[in-house]
Amino acid sequence: MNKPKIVTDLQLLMCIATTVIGVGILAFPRITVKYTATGAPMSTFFGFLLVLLACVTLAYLGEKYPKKSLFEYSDLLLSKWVGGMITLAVSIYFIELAALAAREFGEVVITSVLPQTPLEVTVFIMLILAVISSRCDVAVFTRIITFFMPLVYFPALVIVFLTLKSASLTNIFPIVNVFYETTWTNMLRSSLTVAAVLQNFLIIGLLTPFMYQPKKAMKSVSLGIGLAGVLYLILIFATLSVFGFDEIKNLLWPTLELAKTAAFPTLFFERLDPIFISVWVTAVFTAILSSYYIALQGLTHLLRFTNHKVFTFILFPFVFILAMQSANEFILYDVIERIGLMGLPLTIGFPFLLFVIHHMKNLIQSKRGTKL
Amino acid sequence: MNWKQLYKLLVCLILVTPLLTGCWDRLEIEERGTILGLAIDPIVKNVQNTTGPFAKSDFAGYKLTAQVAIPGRIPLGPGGPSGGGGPTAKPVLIMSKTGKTIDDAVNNLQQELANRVFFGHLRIIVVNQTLAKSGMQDVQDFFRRNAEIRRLAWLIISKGSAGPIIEATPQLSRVPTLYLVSIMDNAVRMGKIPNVFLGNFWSTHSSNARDPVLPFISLYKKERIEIEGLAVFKGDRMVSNLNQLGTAAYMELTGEHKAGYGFAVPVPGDPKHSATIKGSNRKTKIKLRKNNGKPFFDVYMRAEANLEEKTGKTINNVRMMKQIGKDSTQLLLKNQEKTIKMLKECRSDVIGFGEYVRGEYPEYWRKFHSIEDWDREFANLDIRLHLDVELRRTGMSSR
Repeated sequence: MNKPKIVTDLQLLMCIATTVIGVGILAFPRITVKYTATGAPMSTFFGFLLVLLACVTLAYLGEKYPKKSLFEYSDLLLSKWVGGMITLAVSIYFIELAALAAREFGEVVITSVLPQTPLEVTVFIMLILAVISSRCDVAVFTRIITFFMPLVYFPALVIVFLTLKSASLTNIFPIVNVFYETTWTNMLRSSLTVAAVLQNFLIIGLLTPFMYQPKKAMKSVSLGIGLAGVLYLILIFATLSVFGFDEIKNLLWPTLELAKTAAFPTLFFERLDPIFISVWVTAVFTAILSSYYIALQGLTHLLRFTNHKVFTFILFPFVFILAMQSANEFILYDVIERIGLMGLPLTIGFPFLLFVIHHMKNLIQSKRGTKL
Repeated sequence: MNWKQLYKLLVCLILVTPLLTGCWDRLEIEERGTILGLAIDPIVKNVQNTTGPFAKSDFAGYKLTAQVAIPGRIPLGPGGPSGGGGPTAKPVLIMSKTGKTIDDAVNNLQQELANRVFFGHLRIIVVNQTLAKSGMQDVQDFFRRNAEIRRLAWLIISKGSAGPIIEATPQLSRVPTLYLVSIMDNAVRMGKIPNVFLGNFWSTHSSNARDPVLPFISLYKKERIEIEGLAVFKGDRMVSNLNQLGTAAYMELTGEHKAGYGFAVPVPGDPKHSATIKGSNRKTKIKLRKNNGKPFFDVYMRAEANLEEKTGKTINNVRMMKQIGKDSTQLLLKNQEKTIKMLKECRSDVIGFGEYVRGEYPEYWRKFHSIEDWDREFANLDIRLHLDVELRRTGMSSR
């Protein structure tokens, strides 16, 4: 299959930085703090490092197979059957991720801004928007996501800046607290939860073959995911220093509450949380779009279709029904945490497995070469 | 029209319909019962109830006095009538309702109000000190859950009943709540009280290492509002209050940047007259130190002050400036020691020494599991105060 060269390295960078920021940014301070208290920034950093490693692996493989997408070279490396199985699992998993993200989005919107609107409608509209957008080709897809990047980053930073006034430095200490308040297992769990929030990074594998210069993928990928990691770290530090870890445990969405604490010193523009929410909707949109897109591409590849548009509307009812499964927020967050952790071997293990097999194959080939 | 055109039209219609879903939550500003201020008083007899016989809380009943904005009558600019009603019409409506829980009372309020109660513009919540003394837990929960309420609203404790404070209409402003808010905001700006708002109270209340404080106000002559100082909490119960001098000491110890209280010291060499000085800004460093594994604190404070008034005829000179600085240091230190002694007697760590132990000495902090544990330790904590007041300027007078 011939792939057009349409993605620049800057586009890849911005794409990665945006896709990994989704609904998760609202709740992740609470989940990490629940396990590690003031160690939350540290576990966020560890989770980020794990994802960074997986991203770099994907970029490396992208350089080695500059004309093939993730699913194509996994077929090559793992044989059609095993590769196909993993592709199927990844697709199903990302369908579920898109569904959970849409549901979480719906819950936030209903609780905070639109209490009268039925949940189904909010979720339906967000999903249909993602479905329609996912019908476009790679070029448009990257452009949509790239376009939203400043809209996601800039307001988040402004809000953090405006809340610094009520921040207290003592709240973030002790930064290393595995010896006092928490255990290594909690630290691991919390780090993995953060990694689970960042799972959309798999999109790298689908974009590298379309790059003008796949050799530059490594640099853009590490910078892109680095930007996202910095934003996550800034948010966890900000929420922790403004609220303190005890208070974060009481807040369903600490980051949203942070936006409610921010205020412009002028009278006309006092409340910032509606602005934050409207901006955050774009972040959720790009995240759901990428999850859905990964699932679509996986299935298209699996069934050897040439065009992924066939699936867009066929998958939609499934995603919607999956999104409607949890009865309440508590169950939803339980499911999100579990599914997130369960999927990690798949999304993070997959690139590592490919990396190992790639090198084993090379080793075997070179040994054969010397024997002959 | 052929089939293809019809199909296109249909698709367009379907794509446009989702835009209409925003109408579900459409609520015009005239249809909102915007509550600007809220006062909560305890009540024992004749409690109304709408949420059923199981509505129960720590207190028998609550009386809610709400200040509801009347649409179109809130003056938008300075002076001049705006909207209908003319300048004499009252811009707010004061309603009072009771209930067994806060939500019960709010529901009762809604029964009488045609418009939907809207808390998005709630600026101030005044709570009677009797309620605060029996515990804030059940009072604050409703506000925590309501997504419309902002964390930057004021939560204030009133000496005496809270209702009249919301009802009071000072001559200076047409909207009573906004006047009350500006009193508080200006007090913070001038360094009279620390900036402790609703969200701040929640954060300290959740913390196991620090007790919250809240502004404490009173009403006199039925329309003047006076800031008494700070209400001191232990957990969620108010245990005592700091007067203005105590509040000054609190702000010195916590290192609030703005200093706003003036105080008089005798003029050196002329005890019959006094010099009044006023702090301009200050800096505080709290250092945790350990003695045989037991923590103690060194509090280093630096304040800059200006001379505001001097009675008598003594002429200013360098030595006198220094002496006044030294004298005021002694005076402030005494005041701070008194305040700390009082806080220790109430066993309430409002300054937040516990936060330093938790943050910087976590091995030791492991012993404490709740705020009560820490407060017991706080009562015996060794706190050493080091203060340095520098008299910087004497105003426009050179003498």
